[in-house]
Amino acid sequence: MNVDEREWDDQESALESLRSGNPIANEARINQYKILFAALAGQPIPALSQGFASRVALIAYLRSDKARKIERRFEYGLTAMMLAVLALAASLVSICFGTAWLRPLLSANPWLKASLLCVAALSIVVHIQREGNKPVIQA
Amino acid sequence: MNPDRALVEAALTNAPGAFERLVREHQGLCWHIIYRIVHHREDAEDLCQETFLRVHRYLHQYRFESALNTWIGQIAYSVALRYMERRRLPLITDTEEMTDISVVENVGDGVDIEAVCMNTEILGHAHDAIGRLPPLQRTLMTLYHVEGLSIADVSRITGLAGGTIKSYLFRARFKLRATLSALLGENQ
Repeated sequence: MNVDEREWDDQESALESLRSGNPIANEARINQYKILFAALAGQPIPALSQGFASRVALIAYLRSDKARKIERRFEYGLTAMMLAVLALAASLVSICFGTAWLRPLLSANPWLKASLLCVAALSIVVHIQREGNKPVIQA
Repeated sequence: MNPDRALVEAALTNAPGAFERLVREHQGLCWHIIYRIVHHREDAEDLCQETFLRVHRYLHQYRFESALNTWIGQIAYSVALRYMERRRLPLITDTEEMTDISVVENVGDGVDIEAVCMNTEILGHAHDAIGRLPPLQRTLMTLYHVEGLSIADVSRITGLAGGTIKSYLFRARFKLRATLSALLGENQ
């Protein structure tokens, strides 16, 4: 269906009249369009839920790089703290009971020694990798 | 300074509350576009959220070549379009019933517009008829009539040619008038 220019002009006149409030020729066709456009403008549409903007802004922030960096830093800090507590506990145990209990355990189970060596090697590699990924700051 | 630029720059520098203000200023347009296409409240809200998360992610790519509302509108439109494609829902119907022009010519000139607008039954029928339009026409009607955007702006948002938009608007309005005139005929 092609656009009938006369009909289109009537549609636009009705819209213009409705927006400006200026009356136009009382023609049935234009009046019908005015009723229609008034109905369209007043058509109820459900509203967005309350607090939509603040919720979206919060999600956007949580997904941002800045928030991720803070989260990562917090995770590293927490891990470091737990390791420190573990090391402290191990030291206290060693001070109180000596290391005599560890020797028979390691000699009895060579796989335990190998596992501990693997863990140590892995943590060194991860540390080196992390250092390598740090951005280079140029002067 | 252009208010769009000030707001975008504030949001990019993570100024407190800036992005929330940006969302609040443009959520109406975004909601209208998506809801008119999707016609499902919960899904429309999720898509609206997705739109603004995309806006947040790609805001640094906004070059101020078009108004911010048009840029956000484009994103909202493409998000809604993808939803329709994923669900294989048609955006336009193939068999649009077009009423013969002679049918709508038989209503007299003496229609009292205010009285009709107060007639909730007629308005209800008109709203139903608008709701039954194909999603694309519904959206174009909303952007043009409710949001008051020009055909050029609607074209920027939807990527449709101006002539195509004009044709869709014309057909939708013509079809709705036919429905309305039939109703007025019944009520007179």
